[in-house]
Amino acid sequence: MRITPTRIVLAVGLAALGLAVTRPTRGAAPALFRDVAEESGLRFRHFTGSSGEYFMPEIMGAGGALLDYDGDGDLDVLLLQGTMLDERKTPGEARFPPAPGQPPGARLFRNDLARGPDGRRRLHFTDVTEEAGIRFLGYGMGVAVGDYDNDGHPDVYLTAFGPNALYHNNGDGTFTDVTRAAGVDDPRWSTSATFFDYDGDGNLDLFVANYLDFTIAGNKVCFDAVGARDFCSPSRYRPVPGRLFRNDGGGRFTDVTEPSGIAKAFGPGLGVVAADFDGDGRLDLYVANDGAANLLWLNRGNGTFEEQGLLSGTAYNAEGLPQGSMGVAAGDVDADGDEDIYVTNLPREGSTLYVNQGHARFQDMTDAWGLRAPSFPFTGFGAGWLDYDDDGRLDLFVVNGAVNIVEAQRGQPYPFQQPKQLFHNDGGPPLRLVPPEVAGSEVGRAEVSRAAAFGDVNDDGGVDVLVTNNNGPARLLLNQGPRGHWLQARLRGRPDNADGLGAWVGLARKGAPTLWRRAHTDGSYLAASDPRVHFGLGGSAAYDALLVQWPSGRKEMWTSSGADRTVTLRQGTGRPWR
Amino acid sequence: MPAVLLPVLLLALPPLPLDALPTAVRERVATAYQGAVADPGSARASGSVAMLLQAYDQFEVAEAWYRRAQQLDPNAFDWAYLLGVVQAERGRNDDAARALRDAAEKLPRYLPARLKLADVLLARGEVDASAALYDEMVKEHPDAPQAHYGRGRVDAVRGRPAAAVDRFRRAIELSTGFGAAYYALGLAYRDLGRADDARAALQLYEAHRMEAPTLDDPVLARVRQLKTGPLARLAEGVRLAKEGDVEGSIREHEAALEGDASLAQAHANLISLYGRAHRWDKAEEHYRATTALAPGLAEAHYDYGVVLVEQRRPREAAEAFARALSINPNYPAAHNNLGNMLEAEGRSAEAEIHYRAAIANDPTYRLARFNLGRVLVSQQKHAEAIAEFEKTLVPEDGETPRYLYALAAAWVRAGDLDKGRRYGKEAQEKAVALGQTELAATIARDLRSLEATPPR
Repeated sequence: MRITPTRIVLAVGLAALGLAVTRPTRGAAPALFRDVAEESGLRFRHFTGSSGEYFMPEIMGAGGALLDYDGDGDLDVLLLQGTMLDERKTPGEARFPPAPGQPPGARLFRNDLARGPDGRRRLHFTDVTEEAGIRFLGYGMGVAVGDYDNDGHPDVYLTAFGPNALYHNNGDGTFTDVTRAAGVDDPRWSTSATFFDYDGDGNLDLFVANYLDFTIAGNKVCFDAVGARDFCSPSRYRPVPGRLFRNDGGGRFTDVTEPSGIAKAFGPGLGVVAADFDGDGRLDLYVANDGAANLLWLNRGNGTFEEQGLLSGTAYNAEGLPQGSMGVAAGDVDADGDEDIYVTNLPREGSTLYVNQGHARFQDMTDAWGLRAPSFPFTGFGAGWLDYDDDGRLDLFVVNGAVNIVEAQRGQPYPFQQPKQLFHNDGGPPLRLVPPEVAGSEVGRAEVSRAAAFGDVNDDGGVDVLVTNNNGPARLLLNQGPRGHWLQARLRGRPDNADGLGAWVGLARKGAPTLWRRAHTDGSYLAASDPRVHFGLGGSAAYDALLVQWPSGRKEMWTSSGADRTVTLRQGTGRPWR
Repeated sequence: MPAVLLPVLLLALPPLPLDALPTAVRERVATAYQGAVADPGSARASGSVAMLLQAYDQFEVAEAWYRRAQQLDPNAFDWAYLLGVVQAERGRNDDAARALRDAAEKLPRYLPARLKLADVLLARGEVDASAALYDEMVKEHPDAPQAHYGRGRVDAVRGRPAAAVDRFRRAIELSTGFGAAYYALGLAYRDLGRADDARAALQLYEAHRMEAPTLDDPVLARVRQLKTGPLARLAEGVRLAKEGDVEGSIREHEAALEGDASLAQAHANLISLYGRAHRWDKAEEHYRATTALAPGLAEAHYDYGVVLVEQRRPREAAEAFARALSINPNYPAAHNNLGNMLEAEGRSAEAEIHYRAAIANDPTYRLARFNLGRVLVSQQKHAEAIAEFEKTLVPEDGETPRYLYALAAAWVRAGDLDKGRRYGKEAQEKAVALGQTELAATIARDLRSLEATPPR
């Protein structure tokens, strides 16, 4: 048989690849992150239900969560799934049929983390969806996690293109769909959601972002710049207002969208995060809108919110332009004690970093922090601040994936693939893009990524990342890089909400500024993260105290009880601080 | 072989993924490509390929072809400039700064190149270099609002909001509709603690958000003109419609359809465009064409419904709105208009449902609230009606007198004549101020009759 030149080239290429994989250069450190989804049993592939009609929901999902649903101390995984949107067709007729053996609907994977005799942790996931009673077969989008009834077991709110669902965690490994009784459904196209206690009554309220008035029957035909069929811009549809539900206790919520003032402005909402942006001790809301002004809802403390996006400088970028905003991450990147906002956007816009200069006065400092150029070619979705190397400084992880044909991939079966990105914080601007050969090949791998959820999945003190991929497999990127000392705080609130979501937690150290982190599960895109608060301590394990300002405004402190561990801070057991 | 040709041959033609392009564009690019193949030493031939690719947003490939054109003719301004523009579009600011600097040196009087360079330098954090360049431009082109605006942005980045305010104000003096300058001015005022000035500037920003001063850039204009074809004509038609040029928009839409009669969106847009021109037969014709091509375009049914309302054909209009809602049950304007039709038929309970649905899908839809308020008044639900009318009062605009008048009437019906008078007077004053004489006269007549009413 004659070997064609093409085959020779391929053989050489594979040999080179093999060498690169099996023979790292002497002394080379292992990659910072490694995908362990497949080997740990987290086998899930997202199904878009694509029928060639370019229905917009196909390209937008789906999300995922890290949560300890069974209370065994380790993080389990919940993943949202798509289905056929064209009811006249079966999944087998989809352009990308479901993976063999992939069951339909959202899937819950139990983490059976174990320590071997050698002390090494072994991750293993078991699909427990059926026994857990999760039967969410709609076109899944996002997930919010919060213990709305304060019974000590995290509940989940699942959003969809179609009816949403609230699943109550029964505390015995099962869930019950309580959507109707709780009064929190929304049949429209919902995306990200957040549980947060806006009125400080100890009950988690719920905000649900809604996107567009797209319907299957009303699907529009859109074209890209060269006239090829492509997904539509959101401007081709009308935005649908988000909703705020007040938790009245007793498993009931009331729609307070109008009386709270939230109805006064809306856009095509995709990302949402709750944090105290103006430093008044109350939780505000930031909503990332796709192609329209982002909204900053400042909590006025009387049950109402006031929209201050424009004046705060967070509605538009420095040039006053609305951007195609998708994901959002709040965190104190400049370590000055307040929360900054990172928003992921479309290519040729670049993501935007709004640095909080106090009292919800923000400046677009994307360029100064070196984030525009690296984000410029990509469509950013999930994002989060994390201290991956435990040096005490917040780094940034962003997942990308296009919604319109990537020029260089034109003609390929799914031309929307883009790499994930890890940025390192050296202690001030700019952040530095960690090259894929250091971050890990799975970080650099081009996929159509959507959600990123953050949490220490194997309880080793390193923050890991769950990544969902549109029309692709879920990834669990295990943090295996060199790290400093660390501390995780699990909050137990009462009378505040059970997981202390929204609490502002400080780690005080002699001779160094206090590190501030918020207990949260929200942010990113369609995702829910570990509610535990993570601190990197760097080379020194010493710290003086942990300070907590609960969502109700109560303040407590606990003196150091050692590092490299997870501590539980029970409300009412600390000392007051001012 | 002549020595002078050697460098040309060493410059291989950049790759061109022709197969991946749709037919219409592919043919044009292929023709230009053949020109480059036939004349490999011609910068213009390579540049022509690049310009065509840039026109269709194929920036990555365009960059390679511009680079080739520039290498073939290093003295040409156009290739250096367009290379820099494309690199900036790709976020490759290091390369863009080099190319634009090169371009600006070749043709210093070409303002767009220097503005782009200063902008790129600022994005790269070369604040001083950017400031120096803007200073030069302000000096040489004192009437260029973009130069003052850019210099203001440098001041803002440097943390000098007072200086920035002066720059932005100058930019706005030169171009009163400069949206971005109002935005930057608002944030600079905010940073100075002048909250009221900030709010005023940001309000003006909202009014002029999409406006920017024109910048004569004939080189880039030549690139943009290359984008032709039915979709380009459709886009131009949409742009003209937004500017209020109905006839121009109709012309572009019809031209788009001449090129591709299957463009359902063009037919759909023509329903309302011909409706605005009161050419009912043409609106009808394009409605039929739309529904034949794309029966799921809810806007087409809605727009046709509006056309029927204007022709006083309410029954058929209601059917059209209902068709729009069957496709998209979250369509606020269709709910509102169907509510109107039902109300006219005396079916106020059904109308109320639709008004409420309109508001649920657009809480800022004041007309739907106004209509809901009216229905509630008719049902003697005065408190609910008043609550709806109150929500129509913000923001204040030309509709405010009418909404205030409705609020006044609701209070009167609710038995609170004092509040009725108060809101009525306010409505009258605002109507007068806005020149709404007919409405002002109606309110005045009602107020007189109210004065004649004995107090309870």
